[in-house]
Amino acid sequence: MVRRRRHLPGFDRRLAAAWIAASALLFLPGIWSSRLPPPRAFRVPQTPVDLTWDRYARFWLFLKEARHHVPPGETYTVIAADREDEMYLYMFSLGLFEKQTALPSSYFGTPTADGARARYLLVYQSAPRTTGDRLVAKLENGAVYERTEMRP
Amino acid sequence: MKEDVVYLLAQGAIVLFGSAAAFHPSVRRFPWPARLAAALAAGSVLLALEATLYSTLHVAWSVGALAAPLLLVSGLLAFAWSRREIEAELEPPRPLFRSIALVLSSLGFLYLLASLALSASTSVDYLLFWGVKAVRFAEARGIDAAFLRSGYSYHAVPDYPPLVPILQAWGALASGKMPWRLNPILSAVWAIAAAAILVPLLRRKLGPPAWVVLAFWSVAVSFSLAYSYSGGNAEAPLLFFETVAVACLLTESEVNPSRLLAGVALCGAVLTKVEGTAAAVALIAGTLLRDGARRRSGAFAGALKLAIGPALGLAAWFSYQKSAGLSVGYRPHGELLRLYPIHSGSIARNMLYYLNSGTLWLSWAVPILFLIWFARRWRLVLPALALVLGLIGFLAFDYLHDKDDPAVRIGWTLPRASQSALSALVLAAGLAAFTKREESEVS
Repeated sequence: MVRRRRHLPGFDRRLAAAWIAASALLFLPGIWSSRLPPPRAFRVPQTPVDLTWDRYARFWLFLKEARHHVPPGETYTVIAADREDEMYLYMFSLGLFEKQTALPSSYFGTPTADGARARYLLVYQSAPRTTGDRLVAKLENGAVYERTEMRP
Repeated sequence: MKEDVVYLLAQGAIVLFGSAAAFHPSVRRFPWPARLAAALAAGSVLLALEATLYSTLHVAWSVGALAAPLLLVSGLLAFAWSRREIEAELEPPRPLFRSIALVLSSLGFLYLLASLALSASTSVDYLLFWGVKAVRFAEARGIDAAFLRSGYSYHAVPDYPPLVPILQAWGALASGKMPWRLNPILSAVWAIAAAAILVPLLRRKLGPPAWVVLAFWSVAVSFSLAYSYSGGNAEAPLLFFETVAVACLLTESEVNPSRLLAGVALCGAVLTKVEGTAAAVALIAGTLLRDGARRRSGAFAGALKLAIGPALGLAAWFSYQKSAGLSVGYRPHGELLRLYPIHSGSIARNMLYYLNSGTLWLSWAVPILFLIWFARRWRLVLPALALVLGLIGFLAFDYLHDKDDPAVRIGWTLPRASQSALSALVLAAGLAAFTKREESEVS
């Protein structure tokens, strides 16, 4: 018995054309909701997050600049006027300061005592700090200080 | 610059570590890009397992100590498998729309590459913990238990499985430096490798229409990865492993199928993210249901065989956790059955909103429409449907544990975490639409 084919050969072709058309159609909303700048504005990013989060890009640049001023094996802490900035700066620093030891001044917004034991202070922008620390380097977005008196 | 090149070479060497997979009889007839993708899957899994085992046994990582055993074992297996006879496969005819489909796929991947290279799609989690773990592991010459144990590493989710940090740490170990800007671009490689392996798998089942399914999959996945900030984190490798597993199982032969590649991919999925375990359970259950519905003999044994890979992956990671004095298992979001159904409305609304995949929901809507159109073939694609429903259900269940409205968390996590479900949905729709009628009747 010969079974009648419900799907004509052309059916699959039309179906394939529909899939192709749908694939092409995806580009319209895709490009429309894209975060990419116009091609003229393309440039090599300075940080992994230049076009993702401007705020994080600034943190990254600050830390990248600061890390050369903290010797390997030393302890450091990050201080920022805003607790959330401080948290992100501490977390990001763990990937950039692999040869140093981080002691956070706060964690998830809660102050910690450990930060006071750090030898180096990475001060983001104009965060308050104690006087008497030695300025190691003035950076574009803050400064690095060395504590002259270490707490036990 | 030199370090970046060495890092890239080290990442390329992962393919060599898994080169045996390219010679396995079930893979050897595939075209070279697909064989390389299979080798990437196997190499990543083997490296992750080996590095985890080393850390469990307190053996320090080094380039030689990690590379030599893998090259030796893979080389021997490749030699043994390459001597086995396989049936030659004829080069299938090239349909007219193959070129159009390839152009569309390439444009999708180019967009993804541009988005990653210009830093428009980098995951913040990459800077917060994926990359941080890699740097710390490379520095410690092993999984850094002290870092994972520290109270100040809570944000780094110490219980997350280790595959991604290990692969990045391997590159950093070889090059001596973590290429923070380069790494996110490599996320595109996982998507392209998945596409390469989809070609022979889909063609085996669908014939020429495989190309059009591939085109839709590539474009949808590229926009989704770019939109959901998946650069540098674990989303792209998870998508790769789950896509390979689901495609293998959907297109496997009815008689005595080889489940090696699917098992390797599922092992990779559970070693990549917690959601990988949920997906593996759903996929194995779906496969068992499909085989049971077909009254295939040995359905249960086949499912058990499939579970070996993921079980091995979990055993390796949990053994390490125990040996390092870490909490064994995954940290739950609250008590298992303490749910907050008061947020159900918000969860449903926000989940729907954030499933837009960077294409105003089209990536989901089109395959759903095709699945409704060919609904009578649902049994054929049960493994994929189980993955879609299982993963979305798992995420909804997870959100129900939040005491406060989880709207913000849904916005952060769902676009990324739902990508494997999107991939499976597209493959299911493609198979339902193009599987030959005779075959679907038999099934």
